Amino acid sequence: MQEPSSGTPDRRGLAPAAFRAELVEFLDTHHPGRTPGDDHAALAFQRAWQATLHDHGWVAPGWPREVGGMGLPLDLQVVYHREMAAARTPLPPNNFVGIVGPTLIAHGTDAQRDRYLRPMLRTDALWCQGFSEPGAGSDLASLTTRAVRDGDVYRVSGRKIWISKAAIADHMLALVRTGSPGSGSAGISCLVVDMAAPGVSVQPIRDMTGGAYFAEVTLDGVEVAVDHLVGRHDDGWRCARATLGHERSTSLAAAALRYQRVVGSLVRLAERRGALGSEVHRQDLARLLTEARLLELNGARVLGHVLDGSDPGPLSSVNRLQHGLFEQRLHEAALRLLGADAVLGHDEPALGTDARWVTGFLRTRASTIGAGTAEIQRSTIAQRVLGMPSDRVLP
Amino acid sequence: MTAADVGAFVFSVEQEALRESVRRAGAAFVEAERVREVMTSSTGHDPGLWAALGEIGVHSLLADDLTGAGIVEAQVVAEQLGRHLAGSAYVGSAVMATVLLRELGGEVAQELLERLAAGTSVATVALAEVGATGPGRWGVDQVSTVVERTAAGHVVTGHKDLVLDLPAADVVLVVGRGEDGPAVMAVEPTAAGVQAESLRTLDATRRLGRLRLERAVGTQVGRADGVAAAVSCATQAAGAVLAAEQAGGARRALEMAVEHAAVREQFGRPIGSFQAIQHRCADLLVVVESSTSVSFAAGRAIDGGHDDADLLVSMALAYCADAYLDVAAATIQVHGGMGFTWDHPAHLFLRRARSGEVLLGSSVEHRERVLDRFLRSRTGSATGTPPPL
Repeated sequence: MQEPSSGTPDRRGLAPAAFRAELVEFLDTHHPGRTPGDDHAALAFQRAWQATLHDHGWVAPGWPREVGGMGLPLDLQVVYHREMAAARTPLPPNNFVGIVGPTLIAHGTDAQRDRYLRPMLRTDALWCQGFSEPGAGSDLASLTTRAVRDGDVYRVSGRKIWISKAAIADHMLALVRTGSPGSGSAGISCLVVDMAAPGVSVQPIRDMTGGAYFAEVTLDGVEVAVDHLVGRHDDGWRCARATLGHERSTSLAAAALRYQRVVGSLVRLAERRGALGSEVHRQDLARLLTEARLLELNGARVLGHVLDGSDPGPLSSVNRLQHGLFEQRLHEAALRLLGADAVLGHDEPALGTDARWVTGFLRTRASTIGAGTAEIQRSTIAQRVLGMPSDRVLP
Repeated sequence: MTAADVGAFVFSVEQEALRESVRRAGAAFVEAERVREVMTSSTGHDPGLWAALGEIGVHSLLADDLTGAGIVEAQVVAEQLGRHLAGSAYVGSAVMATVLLRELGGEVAQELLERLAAGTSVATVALAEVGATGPGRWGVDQVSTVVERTAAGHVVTGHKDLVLDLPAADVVLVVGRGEDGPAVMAVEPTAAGVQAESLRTLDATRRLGRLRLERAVGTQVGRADGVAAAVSCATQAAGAVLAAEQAGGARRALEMAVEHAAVREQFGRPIGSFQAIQHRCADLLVVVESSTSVSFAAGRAIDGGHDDADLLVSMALAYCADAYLDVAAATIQVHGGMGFTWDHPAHLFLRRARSGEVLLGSSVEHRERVLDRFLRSRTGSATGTPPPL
């Protein structure tokens, strides 16, 4: 592994207040402002920001310094996420810190880490995740995209679906079947697929919002060099489960703060529409204010455990489920507040800025489907957290 | 920078120790049979449990600032008592009456506080008026009980409602209106002119009464100009503690459902293996954990003197009451026919949950306060620092 870049400042030992002060100073100087609405411009804007963060040593607070991250202790990671959320900095163009990065960090070879991680952090190269298939969603272990070893390549054929930002990605971290059919999770490997390779084709999926955020990727005899295997052969299922530290709890905490602001916008919507005179709407808003606050408070308990090294227990799974449900309830309430204007489409000029609620209402149908359906989450909570007997469905 | 500064929360070592010592002290008094005995007793109050709590110093926790304990400590106690529907006057006496006396100050208050802290007296606050509906009944503004100054002292006339633990109380702090403004009068329930009407309540584990006062002799506690604030402080404290008690009850009710589902078999397997049961319990866990989070956040906000303490107490009361109802109803459902029997404890949780929802203001009323507090707190800034917990 390469030595930490001499250019990356070491902020690990800073006291939280001093760390915050440095971050605030950096943001005061470098905050690029509001992300443009146009998709094309937004992507360039977000990439430029990631490059800025990287070049000043402010990217990936939970990643080890050796691979370009900040290597921060947990309490400083929390400060980092809170300040970034409060300052409303641009989001990264895709979620590489979630699974792709940690998988490579934990299971990649030195050569893979050297080749991929820094460009990933700067977003010089963009990544997507090829897990789900048309026939393998909740039951991901039944995936059938086949990778057959032939000399120094794997030949990969199959279809991956629900891949976000596939059209702009340079690489895909893919789970493929290297074991015999029916081998389940024991016959899965993890490969880095070059999206420009012959045999890779991307078909955008028009989703119910009218947009095409996701795509299907067809792999037709794609040759993937053997040195693109991440982790061991047939060990991909375990590798793809890698997460780093408590990325999720710290970033959920940031999301909770954003939601409270969003509910504030909802209250202003209610005021504009004269809805505050109605007890029904007032009760609705009070419930949402409470739920948004609960996301923060439940998150605070998770963080408390994380920081003192104890097990958050049920709270982490509870958090995830609650976030998804909340997003839906928020937008359902927003459309109730629109009253008769709920007949209007997001592209109807008369809606003005309220169009965001319409697209959000449609988009958040996916909040209880993507990244683990609410049903799977409930079964997981019941069996893994409450210790209820197996339903003979969950692996 | 503490955990709180980065928005994290854990219970302290001392709070965990308190939780454990309440659990141990109460263990002998919370068995199902004992709960039933106390339920049918004349006072609904368990003197053995009261004494056991006294031995671990629970009665004096909120009596003064010197104990170092705050609302969160009282909540830790109440959460444990709530798990078992323990018959005790904790919320009414050790919290609401104690905080009222502490805030009012003065000689009379001090003397009463000493008796309460020693566990030798049980007090309760008579605030809401019979016939007063609406949210104002938990403040001094809607008080219509009259305090008159006579040659011999003060006399009180009125009809009070929702008086907690009245059959067990030996002193009632009656909130009335005198010539100088609101006044608190310490009245003995056995005195002349006092008629204690015990209500037959839905929740027999928590006694409530009405108090009819006809020129009853009372001793003034504190001064008129401090009453409104003291009452507000006492109801705020009682609210946070009640919410924690509800959270404790809800958690226990869920545990019972999960335990039952693990052993009850139908169609050749435990009913806990069926998705319908699993999914219901998972949703209940979200609600139980959220109840714990919001109730203790309210307690911390009061202890920390945060601006949003009132907002959080109302959030907690509205949320925990509704949550408790959901969980209690679901627990009966998961227990099937057994859950519908008198002997099974499940219905006791439902009764406790249902009446608890109106004790210090309904969920609807508290949500109205949440929105009101939120609207008043807005600064209009788009970004700004994260709110304190």
